[in-house]
Amino acid sequence: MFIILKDLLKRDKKFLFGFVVICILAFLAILSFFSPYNPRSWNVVPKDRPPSLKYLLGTNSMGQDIFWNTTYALRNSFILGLTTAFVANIIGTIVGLIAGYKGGALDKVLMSINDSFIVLPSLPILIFLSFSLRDKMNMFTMGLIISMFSWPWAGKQVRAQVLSLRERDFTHTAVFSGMNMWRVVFKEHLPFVIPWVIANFINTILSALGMEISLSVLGLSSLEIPTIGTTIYWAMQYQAIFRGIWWWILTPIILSVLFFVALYMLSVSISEFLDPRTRLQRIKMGG
Amino acid sequence: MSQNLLEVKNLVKIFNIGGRIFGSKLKAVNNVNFSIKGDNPEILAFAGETGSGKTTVARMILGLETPTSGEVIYKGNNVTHIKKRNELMEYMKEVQPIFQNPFETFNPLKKVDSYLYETTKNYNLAKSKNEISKIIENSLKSVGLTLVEIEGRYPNELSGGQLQRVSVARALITKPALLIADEPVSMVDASLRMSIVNLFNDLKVKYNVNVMYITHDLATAYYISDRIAIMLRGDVVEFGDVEKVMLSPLHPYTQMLIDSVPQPDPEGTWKEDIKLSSLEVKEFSRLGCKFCERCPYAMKVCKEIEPSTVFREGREVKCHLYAQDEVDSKLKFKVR
Amino acid sequence: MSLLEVKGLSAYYITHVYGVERDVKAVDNITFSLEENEIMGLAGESGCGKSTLLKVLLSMIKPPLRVLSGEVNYSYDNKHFNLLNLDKKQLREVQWEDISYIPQGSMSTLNPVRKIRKTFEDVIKAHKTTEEKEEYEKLMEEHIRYLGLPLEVLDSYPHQLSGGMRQRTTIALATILKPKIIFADEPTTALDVIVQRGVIQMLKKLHEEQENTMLIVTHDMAVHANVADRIAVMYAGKLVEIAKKEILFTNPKHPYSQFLIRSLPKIGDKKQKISAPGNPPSLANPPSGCRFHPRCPYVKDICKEYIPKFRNYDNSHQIACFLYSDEIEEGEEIVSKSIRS
Repeated sequence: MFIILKDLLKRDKKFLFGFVVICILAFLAILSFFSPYNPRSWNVVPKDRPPSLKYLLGTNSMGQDIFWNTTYALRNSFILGLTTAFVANIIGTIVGLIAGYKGGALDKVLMSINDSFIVLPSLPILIFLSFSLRDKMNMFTMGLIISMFSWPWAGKQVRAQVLSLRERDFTHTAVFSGMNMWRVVFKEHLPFVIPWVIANFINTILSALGMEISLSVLGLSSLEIPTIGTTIYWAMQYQAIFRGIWWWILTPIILSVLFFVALYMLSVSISEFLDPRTRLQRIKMGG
Repeated sequence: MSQNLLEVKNLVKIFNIGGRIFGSKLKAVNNVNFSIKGDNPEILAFAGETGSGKTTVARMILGLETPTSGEVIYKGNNVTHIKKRNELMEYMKEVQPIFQNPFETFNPLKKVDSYLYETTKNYNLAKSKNEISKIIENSLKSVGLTLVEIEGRYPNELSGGQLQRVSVARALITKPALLIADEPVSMVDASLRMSIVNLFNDLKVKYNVNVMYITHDLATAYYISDRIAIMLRGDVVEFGDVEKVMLSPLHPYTQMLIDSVPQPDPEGTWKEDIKLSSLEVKEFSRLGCKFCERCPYAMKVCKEIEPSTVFREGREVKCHLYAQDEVDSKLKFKVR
Repeated sequence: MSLLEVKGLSAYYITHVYGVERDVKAVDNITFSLEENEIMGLAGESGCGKSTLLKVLLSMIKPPLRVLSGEVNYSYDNKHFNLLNLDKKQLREVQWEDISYIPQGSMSTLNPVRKIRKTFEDVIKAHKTTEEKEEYEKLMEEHIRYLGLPLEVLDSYPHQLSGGMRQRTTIALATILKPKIIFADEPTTALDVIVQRGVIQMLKKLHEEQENTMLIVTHDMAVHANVADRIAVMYAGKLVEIAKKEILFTNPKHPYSQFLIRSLPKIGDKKQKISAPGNPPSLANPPSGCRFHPRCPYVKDICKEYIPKFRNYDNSHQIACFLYSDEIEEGEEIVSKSIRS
């Protein structure tokens, strides 16, 4: 495992960048557990101070330390992104693998369910749900809700790949070797599908974060929870740009850009690495 | 045992090409009938060109394709549409496939020996690790390989010949009564081909396995089979003992086919030039005999009515030339 | 002067994937000549380098394939040149008009989204000066009819034709400008027996009428028996024997050729046939010395260390084997290392 990691870091500059940035962001997210301030309290520090040694990223108009607030925001982003990505991709992949392999009635039923979810308008429903569940909303719950709209994409794509995989001779060999549906699907087909799933995993994180930011900026999610989106919301509420409190609005923007770019780089280089064709070449080389 | 090992009755396969409204139908297999006795193991060859339907027949017997009509009966049981898993496992235990492309037979991302382990375990042939290894070793030995040679290897680390041997070894683990080999040597190098072909012969002689050998290579078909069926666009046009069919063929298509096989003889093979059919797809939708466009002996009836299969000179032949019981003196012609 | 003289040609695939370097020695120190008006067959199993050799003889060299040494000298009609030294413009003048190519797998030369007629027009227009529509339409239709193809082919798309029909159309395309040399890569592989016969017939007819020279690459020895004058046998990137067809089939000298010929099944012959033991070698990591030695029943100690020189056995019969001569190939540590640094 670690040899592969070291290899990737050495060779692929994209992976290096993505990996390093995500590690830094993760470190910052973990720092949130050591934050001296409660993110929901206001007026714990002097307001509107520019960045200094005492307040690394300055303070905002509600009297919060932006640096420690941001560590909470990052932690929440990770929780949200990972929850959505895991739930959506696990459901979608399993549905796609089975529907693609079995075909027939089961396929039709699963795909009808799949398509119904695709057709649901995500933004209005999310707005409604996040609005009405405001009090009970936390990142985990939001992740679950967003994943309900993300899983059908994985379902359809995985199924498409399986449809061609199941006609290949090695699937027949597996069947004649006595393997039942679960073994065939997980041992024969999943390895081909994994590169796509990993790339999609990262993309799901991206879209979940994007969705959260959209909702929060519109003021539709639980605004006491510090997230990148809510930070922007509050900064705009307090007219941060016009009042020259640039450190308050720039922090979330730069962070989200960094996050997105890093995730994208990781996604591209990992799927290149896992592509069956380059994997075969590596096997041939003995590397 | 008086029942036949395998009986194929009136097997028909029609493919729908294009949509339901504007599509057309392709009759890939038209009423195929044959049986394999099984008391004396034999190698039965199904030969023909592309589009002859030979592979489709094999796939229907294996259950990879559902027949449009007709039946496949194995040891007295109707196995045409198996639904239950345990029945399927029982059938697969006895009837195993060998595929054409040794590099596609195995998942390129998996180690080749994993399939050997899977087969042994899934059919409950052994419990302990020792027993499993022994069974696998034995199977590999019967194809001329050792576990050491292939252990832990991926398909692209082995040659086509080796992979095809592993494929046979895997199929032999369940001690099947019938192996269905679909063009097993067409993708194997010329220098290794005969060793695989000889292997099939060994299987028949030493291990009592019947082999259904699908091929377009008539030379190897002659070399190892006992009986041969010649297929043309879905019909079995001639079927019988290989010496009879290939050395004194009755059906004009068989004659043309055998005549066209290039012999590895520096004197050359052909005396006359051949005329090729113009757009071959038309042959499929023929009403009468599928060969009449190219047949040197075509008669009016050939264009309109499909010939029936008759038994002549020790083999089955589907041709109007032999349809009458008394052979018209005008139609009596030279046989090769 | 031979029509084509190849001297000391070496071409490797040099790859550099994930930090691992590999040289696939597909064409290794090959020397032979092709005489005017003959049909030479190039035999050998898949992966022995024959397709690569063909690519180099046509100057279709793209990385990771690199020519490391050698000459490819053509000599005809007062033109003498080393193909490897030509620039793109000079190459284009020569390709298709003087030297043409029938590739493996008939889909490659025919543009799938254009009618066959248009593809033919493109080729004719690119090489001839006549812009007269009537003239080249006549040329096309005559050629198609001459080769026994139905005229409807010209108005079809490639996917509407069967594999055999496509192959024959590709041959028509390759010969419409009456080239001097035709290189064919596995022209009959994957074709049905009867269509194969038609293709072989077509090639022979073209050879007789256009008086051209052909080099046909195929692993099918039966095809060589019916078409070639001389046959060259390749093994693991090197030539092992060249002989007249009659001699190769009745009395093959190299142990590999012997296995190749003796393992051929024949209808009417039920005698046991045996193929070569062992497995074909990897071109990236070939055995030391003579590449066939691990599988050779006559192997001696010298075979394991040195490569036998490819030399004349007698008139028009060349062979590389220590059974017939002690000469060793001049050992040159091929310059791949210097290229990498």
